[in-house]
Amino acid sequence: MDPLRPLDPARLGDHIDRLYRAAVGLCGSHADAEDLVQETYVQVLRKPRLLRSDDDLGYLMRVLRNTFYSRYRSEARRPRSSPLEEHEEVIEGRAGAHPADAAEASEVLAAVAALPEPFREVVAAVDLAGLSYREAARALRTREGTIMSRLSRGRAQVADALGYTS
Amino acid sequence: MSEQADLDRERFAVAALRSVELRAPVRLRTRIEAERERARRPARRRRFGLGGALAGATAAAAVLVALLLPGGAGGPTVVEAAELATRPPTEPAPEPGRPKLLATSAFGLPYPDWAEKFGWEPSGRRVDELDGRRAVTVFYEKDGREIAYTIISGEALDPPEPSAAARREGTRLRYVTDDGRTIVTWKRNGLTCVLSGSGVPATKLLDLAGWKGLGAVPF
Repeated sequence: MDPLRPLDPARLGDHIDRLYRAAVGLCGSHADAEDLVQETYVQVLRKPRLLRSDDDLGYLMRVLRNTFYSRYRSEARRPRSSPLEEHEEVIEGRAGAHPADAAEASEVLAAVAALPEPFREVVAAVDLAGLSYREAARALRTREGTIMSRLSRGRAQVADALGYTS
Repeated sequence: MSEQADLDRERFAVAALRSVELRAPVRLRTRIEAERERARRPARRRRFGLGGALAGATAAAAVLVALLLPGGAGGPTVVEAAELATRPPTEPAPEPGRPKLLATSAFGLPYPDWAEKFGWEPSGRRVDELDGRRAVTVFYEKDGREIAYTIISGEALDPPEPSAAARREGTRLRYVTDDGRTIVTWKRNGLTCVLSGSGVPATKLLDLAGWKGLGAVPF
């Protein structure tokens, strides 16, 4: 069994970008995603945490997902009056990136946000946050086989939404 | 669609998804840094032991404790067991186990997994010695609130007196509320269980305490 290890608050900042991507995929809104990520950190920082595995991001993803379901899901189900807006930070840090990339990223994130929940959370965890299948299974409280199956179906729906033709 | 076509479609999606290099806005980083700074400040939460808790309690709390002294079973009082809820966990959150149960138990009694049904996620565990009895506590969290579920070894403790009575799924429960803190106690297989939390309605705690998960949670 892995030894116990306190979660180091100083290292939590390393995961903000990946959590934020997952949050936008879950919420379908940059404003809601910001609130969701902040609330996730507030909950995690509220007291010292002990982890057995070296999986800070997976733990954060688990808290983020639980917070989303308890606070934001009902709002996420409401029809949106406008599509996912473009975001000025999308191309930040990408040398030579074309502004069109930002619009493209918004389309991809909107496609994720439109997925049914079981597929959305898996795509957000694996493809947007970058968790492994195993980490995602722990974070989402399911089996690796379920993760792989939902991921495949979720990706297929994303491809269709983006206009993929064989 | 052929297997190869499925694979191509999935590859297309993966390429699109992984090309998203969205970064968190600076204002979010600033907000989180402020939260981290706030968390670094000394906690105001009680961290003293049971002796200190009783010695330093307010007059109102002292009255409550006087009302809740044990009636003869020996060992700690239910209120003392509930006081463990104010201490921090010393072990990580238990993982899910068999359906509707966590992969942790005390004296042969598994703890319920309330995540799916009620949204309460396990957040930690601790083991204490109280008046010669072992007390195993599992903490649960939801929406920033925390509750603690303690199982105490040995002969069942007397319920607090006076306390209200309720019944859930055939289980008789007793509960007291004081200053926003609710303490529920009941028996599982002859052992005393205590569930307590602040800012959580008594009805919610009673529902959790009596939940049997369609027979998955042994009583």
